[in-house]
Amino acid sequence: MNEPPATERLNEALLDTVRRAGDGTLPPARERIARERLALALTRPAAPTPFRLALVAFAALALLVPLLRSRQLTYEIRDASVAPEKGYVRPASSAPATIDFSDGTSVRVLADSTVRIAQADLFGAALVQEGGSALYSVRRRAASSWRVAAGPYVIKVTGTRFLVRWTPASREFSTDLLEGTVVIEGPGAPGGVQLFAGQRLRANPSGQITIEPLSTPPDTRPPLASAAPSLSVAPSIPAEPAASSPQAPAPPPAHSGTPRAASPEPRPVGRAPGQELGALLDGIELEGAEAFAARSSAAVVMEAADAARLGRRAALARSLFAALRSRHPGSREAAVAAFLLGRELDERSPGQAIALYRAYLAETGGGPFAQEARGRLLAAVARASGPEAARPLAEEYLARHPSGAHAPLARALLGAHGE
Amino acid sequence: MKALQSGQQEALLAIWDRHATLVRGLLRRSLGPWGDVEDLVQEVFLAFHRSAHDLRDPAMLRAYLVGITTRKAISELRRRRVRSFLRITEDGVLPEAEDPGVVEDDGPEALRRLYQLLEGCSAADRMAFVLRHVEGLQLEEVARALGVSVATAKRQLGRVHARVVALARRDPVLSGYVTTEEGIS
Repeated sequence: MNEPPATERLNEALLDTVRRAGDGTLPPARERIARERLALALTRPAAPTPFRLALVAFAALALLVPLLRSRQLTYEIRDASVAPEKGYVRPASSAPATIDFSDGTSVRVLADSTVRIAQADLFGAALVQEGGSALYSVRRRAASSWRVAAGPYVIKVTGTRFLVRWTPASREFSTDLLEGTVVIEGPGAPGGVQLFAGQRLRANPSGQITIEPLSTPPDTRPPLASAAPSLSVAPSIPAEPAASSPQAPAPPPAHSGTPRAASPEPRPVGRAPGQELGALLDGIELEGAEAFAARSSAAVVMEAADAARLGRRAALARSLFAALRSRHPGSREAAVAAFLLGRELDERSPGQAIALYRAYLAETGGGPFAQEARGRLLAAVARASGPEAARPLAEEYLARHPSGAHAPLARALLGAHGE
Repeated sequence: MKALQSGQQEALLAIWDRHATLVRGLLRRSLGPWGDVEDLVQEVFLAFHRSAHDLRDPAMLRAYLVGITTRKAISELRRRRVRSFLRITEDGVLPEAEDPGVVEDDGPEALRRLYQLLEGCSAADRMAFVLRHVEGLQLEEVARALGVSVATAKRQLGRVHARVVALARRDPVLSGYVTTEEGIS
């Protein structure tokens, strides 16, 4: 059951070189860190598989749909003396009708007026005032969008109270803004005109717009009759006290004053495997990397930094590498820290990374990371200062490492300059 | 094994103690000895931890780990190939970071050239070659690790071996390492 006999093969000397180079043993300290890292990973919940993710998404959707449905805007019509047609509210001449929306918004449709509910969804409603007068009290909500169309005019509403009059026959339009702000678009204001509380916008049949102050500003809380005396609906629209107004800001939640940062993130406690290393790193974090480096040998700081790096605690690893360089200058570990710190900063701070790679190469004159340091230096300089600046580095890289990982980049840089 | 299947972490750590070197070595010899494979070693053992209940015969533990490691290595080789295809562009986009390895700077040229040559093979072929000729696994073991039939593994090995030898013969350095029945060619 063997493959066909080969007359030629690679000799054992080469294959032995591969076996030796790819030896799987680690120095004891690194092996211990790797084992601790596995133990630490076992204490964490497993990363969700695609199947689990799909399951979670499905469950979330199943919960979300009823929630969205519950937040869907619904409405009821009160006091309509005649049964409304679908979407239409047309009070009889004797009394107004009220549309109560589930989000707290209400629309008072006055006698002999017509309002059509064109759309009502999660985010608000679009109403068409086909004629007559109506008072709108729109509840302010995040991301809500209300529109009221009256003839050629459209009122964009966030949260406010306003009275709209529209007479189709004479094409006269007016809006009295009692609270908040609205933007009105229409003939004479194609880009929209903003109206503030206490103002009235009038538009005549030719589309000419005038804005004037209401005779009694809304913050004096007048009865509606004083703002629109001809409507005679004041008794049915009480002026709400500020505290109970739907527009009044909600009181802050009871815990809103507690800053999150004040309570440190709880860490798991117990004797689970892997916590020894985690606890060590926690301790260094509390003590501060500089203080830890000041009282520890360079080798110990390097080991801790390595553990932080392999344990995906990048910020702590960076602090430890920096502390290693400041507290143990001239040591072999400090030189290696320059390279590793440079690599950590490669993406976010190429200038610093370049300086650190240069420092590593200057301090060691070679060493196990020299090839990668030269390659990364070359790439960082090309990125930060352009191909021209990187050209000498590319030449040096190719001379030293013709088949290195960055050789294609070096050749590309030299090739781009006519070589 | 029962302890592991019941979720005891100490059992996995005991397996780590016995087999981490094997897994790490196989990864390094498959992917090349220059990169850091620690993340992959961790992933192999975590994958093993998740799927340990599938292992019925404790005697097959080593082969089972070799299988997981092989699949992980193939997946990593494919990922690297896609990334290397995308990364070097005229605007100087940086190559992907490679972690430091154990091999000293400018290691044996023949070793570099051999891995360079293996880059031209498919991930599965490359793994077949490494498992058979570097790891010294039997054909049946190679097939099991690759998750293919013995016949398929046999074809795969024949193909990749012929390709590697042919390319090595044309390489000025590697040609000195191609031997025939009579000796060095």
